[in-house]
Amino acid sequence: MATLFSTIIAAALVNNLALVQLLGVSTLFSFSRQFSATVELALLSFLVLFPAACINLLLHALILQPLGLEFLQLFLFVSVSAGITALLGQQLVKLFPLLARRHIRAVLLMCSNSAVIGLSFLQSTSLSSLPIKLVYSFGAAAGFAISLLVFAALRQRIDQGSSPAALRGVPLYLISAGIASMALLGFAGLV
Amino acid sequence: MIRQAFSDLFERLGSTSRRGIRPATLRESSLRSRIMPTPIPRELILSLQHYPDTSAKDVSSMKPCVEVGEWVAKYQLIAREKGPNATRLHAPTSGTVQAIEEIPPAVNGQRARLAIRLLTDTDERELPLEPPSDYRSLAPEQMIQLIEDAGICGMGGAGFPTATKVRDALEKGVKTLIINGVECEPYISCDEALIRERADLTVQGAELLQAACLADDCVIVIDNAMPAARQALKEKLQGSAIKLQVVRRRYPAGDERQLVKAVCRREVPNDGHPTDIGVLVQNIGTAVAVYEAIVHAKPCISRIVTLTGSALLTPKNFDAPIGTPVQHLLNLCGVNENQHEFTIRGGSMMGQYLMDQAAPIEKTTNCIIASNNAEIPEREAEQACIRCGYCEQACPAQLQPQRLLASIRNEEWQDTVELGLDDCIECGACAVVCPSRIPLVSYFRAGKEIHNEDHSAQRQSRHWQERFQFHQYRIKKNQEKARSAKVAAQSAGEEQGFSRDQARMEISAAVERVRRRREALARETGHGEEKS
Amino acid sequence: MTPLAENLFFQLLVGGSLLGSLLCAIAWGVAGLRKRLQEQRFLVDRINSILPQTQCGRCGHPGCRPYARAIATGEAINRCPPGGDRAIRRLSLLLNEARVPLDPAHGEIESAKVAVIREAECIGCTKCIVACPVDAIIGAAKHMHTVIASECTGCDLCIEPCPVDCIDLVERAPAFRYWSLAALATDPLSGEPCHD
Repeated sequence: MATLFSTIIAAALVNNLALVQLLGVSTLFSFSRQFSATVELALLSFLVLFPAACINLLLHALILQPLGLEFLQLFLFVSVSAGITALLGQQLVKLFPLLARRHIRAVLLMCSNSAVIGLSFLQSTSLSSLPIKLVYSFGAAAGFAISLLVFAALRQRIDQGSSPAALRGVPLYLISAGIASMALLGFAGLV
Repeated sequence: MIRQAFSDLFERLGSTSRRGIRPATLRESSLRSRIMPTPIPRELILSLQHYPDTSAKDVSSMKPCVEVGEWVAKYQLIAREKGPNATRLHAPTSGTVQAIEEIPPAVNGQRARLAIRLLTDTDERELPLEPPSDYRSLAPEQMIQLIEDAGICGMGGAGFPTATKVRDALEKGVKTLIINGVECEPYISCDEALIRERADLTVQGAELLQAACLADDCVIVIDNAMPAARQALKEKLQGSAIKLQVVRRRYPAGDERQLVKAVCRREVPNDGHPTDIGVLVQNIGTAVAVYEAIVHAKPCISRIVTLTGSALLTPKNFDAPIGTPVQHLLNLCGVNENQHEFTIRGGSMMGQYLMDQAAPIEKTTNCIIASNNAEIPEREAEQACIRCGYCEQACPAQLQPQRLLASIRNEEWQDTVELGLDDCIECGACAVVCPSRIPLVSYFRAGKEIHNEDHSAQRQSRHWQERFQFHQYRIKKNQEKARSAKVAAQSAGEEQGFSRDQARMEISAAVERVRRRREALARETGHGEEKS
Repeated sequence: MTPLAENLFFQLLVGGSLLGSLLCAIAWGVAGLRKRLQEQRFLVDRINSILPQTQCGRCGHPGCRPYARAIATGEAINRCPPGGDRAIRRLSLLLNEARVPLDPAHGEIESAKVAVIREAECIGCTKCIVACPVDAIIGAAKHMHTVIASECTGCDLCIEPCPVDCIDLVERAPAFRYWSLAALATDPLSGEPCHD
C-alpha cells in the first residue's frame, strides 16, 4: 500500500515527466485560449499517456522479452502510441465535435510525443516489477496532466499582465518553464 | 455596554470588518448648524426622469398631468409614473407651470430629460390634506397605497420606488426590517442630522414601515461616529420593540449588502435582493417620509440635502424642496469663489461632477460638495500595477480587482464575468488604496458598459436569426403555393394574363421616368445655385 | 509494536479513502461528460449563435449558418466583418483558436448601418423586398416601399437589386458610451498612453 502511494508521488511530482525529466515539453507550450481548454487537453493527454504506456509495458514484458525481440521496442512503442492517438482522435470527432475542433491538432501531435515513448523506455529498462511499473505510469500520466494545468494557469496570468514587449509571449513562457522546473526540483527527496 | 464591546470585537474578528476603507470623517462642518428650512426659490425645476435611469431611451419616466400655464397648488399631483420604476411627483409649492421642456443633463453620462419648470408664488396655497382618521388601524395594503400616493422613493441614492419594494417584501414575507442610518461617505451628514433632530419621526416611521411589511423585528443601524444621533435615538427607543445596532464606521458599510451581512450575518445572493433572504432595507430619510405620508397623508415634496465642501462659507444641511436649483442652495451657504473649482453631486467617493449649477435637487440627491483640487484631487497619471494586493483587501464584494483590471485591459469579457465583475458595487475603495493610482473603478464601469453592449448585440442577433428563419419559411411556403396554383391553372387549361416581356418593359419605362425626373430635379437645383 | 504501515486498520483506512476518492472522481467525470455531451451535440448551432445574423454573405457563404457549418469543419474564424472583433473573440474562446484580426479580404469593420429608401424615387418594383433576408422592407407592387429601421440588419443586399438606386446605407447612431478604455489608459496631463 505504502509502496503504491509513494510510487505514485514519485512518478507524479519527484520525477515529473514534463518539468523534471523534460519529456514532452512541447505539449506544455501548445496553444490554449483559456484555462478550461487546457483542462480538456490535460484529460486527453492522460487518456493517451496512461493506456499507451500500459500497453507498451505489457507487450514488452509478455512478448518482446520472452522472445528476445527487444531491439524492436522503439518500433513497437511508436506504433502503439500512434494507434491509440488515432483511435482517440477518431472517437473525438465522432462523439465530441467541439472537443475535436478545439484539440484535434494537439492530440494528433501526441502520437509520437516523447512523453509516451520516453516513459515506456524508462520503465521498460527499470528493474521494478510489472505492477509497480504500471502504477508508476499512472502516476507519471497524472503528473503530466497536472503540470499542463499548472503551466496553463501560469501562462494565462503572464498573458494578461503587462510585460515588456521584448519578452512577451514565448520568451517569458520559456523563462517561466525553467523556473517552474527548478521549483519542482524541490520535491527531490520527498519519497 | 459589554454587549457592544463584544459585538465590536466579533466584527473585528470577522472577515468583513477588514474589508473596505476608513476615510477621514468630514461631517463636522456641515453638522455645526441645525437643518435649515429653505426659502422657496423663484423657480423650481421638477425633473420627469427618474435619476438613476441613465440608460433609459425615453426622455421621461413620468407623465405630466398639468398643462403649461396652469396654476398648481402645493401638494397637487403634477406627474404620474409611466412604468414600474418611477414615482409620482407633487408640486412642492404653489405656482404656475411655466414650461415643460428638456433640460440639459446634470452629470456626465446622463441624457437630456424632460422637466416641469414651476414659477413659484409666495402664497403657498395648499390643497387640503386628508390624513387617515386612525393610522394605527390601517391594513398593510392601505399603508402601501398611501406610500405610493405620496410618491416616495428610496432616499439613499438608488431611488427605487418604496411602495414597490415594500409590496414585494410583503408578498415574499420578511423577517427583519433594517433602517439604514449608516452614512459611510466621508462628507454626507444628512442622515445623521435627520436622526439628531427628528429622532421621534424616525422611530415612528420605522414602526409604520414594520407594520406595512409585517416584519418580525426591526433594527435601526447607525455607525459609531455619530454620538449625538445615537443618544437621541436611544432616548426615543425607550420602551420600543425596535432595536438599535451600531456598526463600526467603514466605507462602504452603508451599502445594502454590507449592511445585511453586518446585521443578519447572512449574505445576499449575488443575483438577488435582500428580500430573497427575508430582509428589507430602507433608508432613514425614507422612514421619515413614510411617517409623513401615512400619518399626515403628505406627499414627498422635500428632502434633507447636505451642502458642504471647502468652498462654502457655512456648510449645512437643508430641508430643500424637490426641484430647488443647486445654485440657490449654494448661494444660501455663501460661496468663496476663489476656492470653488467644481461641484460634486453625491458623495466624494461615488458622486459625479455636476455639469450645470442650475440642475435641480431630486428625490435622490443627498449631498452637494463645492470644492477644489486641493481638497479633492483629480485623477493622477496611473502607473503600472505592482501586484501589492491592497485592492483585494479593500474590496467589500471580495473580488480580485487587479485580475479584473488585467482581463478588462485585455478585453477578455468571459474572464471578467467569471471573476465576478457584475458583483462590483463601484464603491471605489480599490481605487483609493491603489498605490499606483490606477482608477480601477472607472475601468470596472467601462467593462460593465461594454459587456452590456455585448449582451444587447447578442439579443439583437438572436432576433434577426428568428426573422431570417421566418423569411425562409415564408418563401418556401409561397413557392409551394405558387406551384400548386400553377398546377391548378394548367389543369383548367387557362393562360395567365401576365408575360415576362411586358413586365420588363414596364420596369424599363419606370426607370426612364425616374431618370428624367432626376435630371429635371438636377437642372432645377443647378439653376437655383446660379441664382443665389 | 508493528509499524503504522503494517497496521491492518490503517491499511483499510487509507485504501478505503483512496477508493472513495477514486469513485468520487469517476462520478464527477461522468457528470461532466454528460454535460459536455449535451453541449457538443449542436456545435454548428453554437457557432451560429455567435455570428451576428445579418445574413450579408460577405464571408463568401450564402448566410450565417452556412458559414457556421464551414467554421465547424475548420474554416478561419475571422471572415465576418459585421461581427467584427466581438464575434472573433467569442469564436476564439469557443473553438480554442488564437484571437486574430479581421481578414481584410472580406471587408473592414464598420459601424452598424441601416438602409433607407429615398421614398420620392421609389418606383415600387418589390425587388428589394424579395432580396431582404429578414423581411424588413414593406410595400406593395407599384407603391412606395420603406424600411423598418429597427429590423434592418444593414446587410446591403437590397442595394444591388434596386433598378433606380434609391436605397442608401446610413450609419446608425452609435450606442451611447460614457466610459472609454482608451481614455482611461492615457495620462490625463500629457495625453500619452500610460503603458506601452
